[in-house]
Amino acid sequence: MIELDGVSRLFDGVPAVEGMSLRIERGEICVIVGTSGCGKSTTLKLLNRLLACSSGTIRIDGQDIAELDAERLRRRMGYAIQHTGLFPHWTVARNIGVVPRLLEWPAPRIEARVRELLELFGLPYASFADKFPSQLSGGQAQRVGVARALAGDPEILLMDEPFGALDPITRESLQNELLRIQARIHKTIVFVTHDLDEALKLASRIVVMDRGRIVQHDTPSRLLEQPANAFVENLFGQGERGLKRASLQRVGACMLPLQGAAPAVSVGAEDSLRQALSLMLWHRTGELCVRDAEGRALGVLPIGAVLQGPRA
Amino acid sequence: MSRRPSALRPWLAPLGWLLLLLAAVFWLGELEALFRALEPSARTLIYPRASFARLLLNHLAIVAAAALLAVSLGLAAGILVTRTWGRDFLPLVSQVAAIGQTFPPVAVLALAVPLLGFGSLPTVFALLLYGLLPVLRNTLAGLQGLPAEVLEAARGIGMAPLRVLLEVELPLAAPVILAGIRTTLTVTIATAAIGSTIGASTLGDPVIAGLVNGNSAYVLQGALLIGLLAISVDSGFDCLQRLITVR
Amino acid sequence: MRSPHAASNRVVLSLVALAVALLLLGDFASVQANRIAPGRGLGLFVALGPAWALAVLGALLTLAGLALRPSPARYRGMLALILLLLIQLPASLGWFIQLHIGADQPQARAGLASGCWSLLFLSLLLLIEVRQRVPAPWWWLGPGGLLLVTALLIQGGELAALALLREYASRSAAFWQALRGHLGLVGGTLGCSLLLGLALTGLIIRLPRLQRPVFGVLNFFQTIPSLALFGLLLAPLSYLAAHSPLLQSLNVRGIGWAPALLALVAYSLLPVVRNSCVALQEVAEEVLESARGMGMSRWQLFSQVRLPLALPVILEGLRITSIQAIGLTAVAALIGANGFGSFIFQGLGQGAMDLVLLGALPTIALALLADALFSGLARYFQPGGRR
Repeated sequence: MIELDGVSRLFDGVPAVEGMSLRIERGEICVIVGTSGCGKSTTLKLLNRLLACSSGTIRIDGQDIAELDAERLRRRMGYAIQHTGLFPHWTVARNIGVVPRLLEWPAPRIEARVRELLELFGLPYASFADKFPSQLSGGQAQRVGVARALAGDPEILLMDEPFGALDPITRESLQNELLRIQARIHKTIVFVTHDLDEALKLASRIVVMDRGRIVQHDTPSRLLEQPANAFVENLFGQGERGLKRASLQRVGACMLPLQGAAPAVSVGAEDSLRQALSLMLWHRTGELCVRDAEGRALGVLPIGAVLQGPRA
Repeated sequence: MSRRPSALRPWLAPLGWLLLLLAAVFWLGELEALFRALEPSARTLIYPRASFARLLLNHLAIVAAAALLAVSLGLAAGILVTRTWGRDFLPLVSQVAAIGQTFPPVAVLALAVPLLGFGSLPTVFALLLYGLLPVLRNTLAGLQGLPAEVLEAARGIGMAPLRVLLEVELPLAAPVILAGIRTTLTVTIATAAIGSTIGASTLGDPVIAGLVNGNSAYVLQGALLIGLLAISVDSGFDCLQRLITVR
Repeated sequence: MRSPHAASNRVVLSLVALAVALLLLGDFASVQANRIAPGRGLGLFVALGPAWALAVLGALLTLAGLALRPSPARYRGMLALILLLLIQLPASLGWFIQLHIGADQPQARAGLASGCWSLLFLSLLLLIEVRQRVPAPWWWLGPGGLLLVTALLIQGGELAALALLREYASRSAAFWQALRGHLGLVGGTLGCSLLLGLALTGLIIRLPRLQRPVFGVLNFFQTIPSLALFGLLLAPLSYLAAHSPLLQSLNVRGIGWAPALLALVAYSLLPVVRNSCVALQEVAEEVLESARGMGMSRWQLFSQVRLPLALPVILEGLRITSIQAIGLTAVAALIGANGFGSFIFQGLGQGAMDLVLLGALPTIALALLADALFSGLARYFQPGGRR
């Protein structure tokens, strides 16, 4: 659990973060969003003490981080950043193994860990371990960057726009991968981004920041439904709010039991309502058949159910 | 390991030059007949006051002393002023390094004499002073030119400052620093030869003596040896640099 | 980031401490009864008298005081003090001569000792440091004032007893001849290497496969020490001169201006060719494309786009070349080329350090001037630099 209590940070007397209080629960993905210069990256760097707080305290599991040794603290937290920051003179394996080596793990354990992480990110050990960062594609390098952040098995993972420099397709597949991996490892993740769709997709809770202050801290759907003020409303695209919310909701939660013949057009139960809507518009139909991953018909999704949203 | 068969090949050029230098040092004295053609009227044709091997060793000793000091001081200063607590000195030091390189080496050499008198000591001192600048400049350029995100990642991962310096900053800046050291060596070897004029015994001696006495055989002998020495060292460094910047 | 005014300026403090220490520990200036007699060094207080000495030390300590809690206003104060320190320097020498050398000693000469030199150097370092902390377009009044006051005092004869000027006085004709020789050789080198270098650059741009061999050869020249290159040129040139009346009539010999010019041009080609190649080849592709898209002809493309963008880089190459040539011309005095080097080597031969200074200082001054000239030109031609 991470707690920020009245945290401020000044640069040359100008506040970049001001009076920030926040509680991040164990195992959640907390995404900090805001326009550039709003203080979101600064907040992240305060957490691992790359920057010091000008005032206020940050506690991790009840312990004030100012009292801890900065380097030990950082080794307990994974850190992944936009341009990966991979060490260009080291192989992929050495890059991933750097924190375990700092933690003085025995060599066989480091190798096993590197192997495990590479497989976890779908990068075969045999073909990637000895490559240098310059030989990787953008997506591969970013996977290695995240793998490196996870290598020391940290409780907390800090991610500063890690997918910001990737093309949309790679970005989406990495987002999916992060969710898949998080479902297995349950880290506490603090994730900074300016991409609101990314925030809505990944976050269990979103922190909206503006000019160094928290504007709203809420779940993605509540942010869409009850924006705290015009700034948040604007940020999450007034006109497209319905679609954004639909992309958070799963078809499976809205479908009705199947009665009679299945409709011709099908949608997956794990797909979002947004995708379902798109299918309806494209095929000019008001009804979809909901199927599971194996293709078995589970139910039916009429347009009325879409408008109603998930049933409680 | 698969590079094994070609591992020796890049060293062929410096090795060849080195052999040529050694051959010249030991057999130049045998070529009296050849030099006779150049200076038919001279009484002596081979520089008599010291053996070429002796001069080469002296030259190397002066260069080694000056270069070793210059590299360690330049590297140390470059590292110190790029740390957080030395950063106040960075603007001044980098400006001085830039301005200092406009001073002609001969002038620096000449100005060392009023301070330290004649001999090897002022030569080493002047070479050190002048050789410091390329190392310092390139160390600064190398350390400051590192990608910011790599340094941020290194710190964010929990590396201690010394470790960041030794494992990340210096290896990444090595090619640039090495280029500075190469410049330092080239200048040092060249200026040490001129050190003969302030009383240091180097391979410049035969050239100066030949110019003073009008004996072009001496001049040619000294010039050949100085040239071969400079080229051997430079081509050795070229290999070293290529090995390090293989990626 | 610390706020800029919170901490004391450690750089100024260390420089001042060093200056005070060197002034108190070393001699400030020296007196010689004649050219051959050994010099007698005098400390700051003896050399300048207590009042002047205290004023200098006071200025330095005030500087340190201001540096303890600097602010923009205090930085301007420091700058003013540094200017005063620089400008008083030649005046203090005049004062020193008045105090210690009577009119009845026409042979006596005054020399600068470590204290004087350190005060000059450290003041210049202080100037560099403080100038970066506060915008002050009048900083050049320091070095400018120093030169002006020196010139005025020389004109008025107050500094005539300075050893350097005594050396100059006894060979003023040779001095100006050396300056002409030095500038002539450097200018000739610049002209030749610019012509040859641009021709080579054009060749490389047309035939890119020549790039590697050309740079290989030019790099090779740079590696050969100057003394060796001069020496290696001696024999072939004397041979050629002995067999060619035309060369003899041009005064080409194994020593003298011919081998010097040849060697200097060989050294100068690398910076010129490298910089012009880089500059002309690395104009951004999209810039060239849009220029072609607008319908520029090849010549227009060269004269309106490539050349203006490349000019600052080419000038940087000339800057390096000229500095290098000025230093090497001094070395070329060893093979009889006329220039300030001849004073240096004569002085070294006779053990006359003031004569060495008479050669070395103008050489350094020329190099600094060339540096300033070419970096100024490069700034002027930098896109957006003309203001």
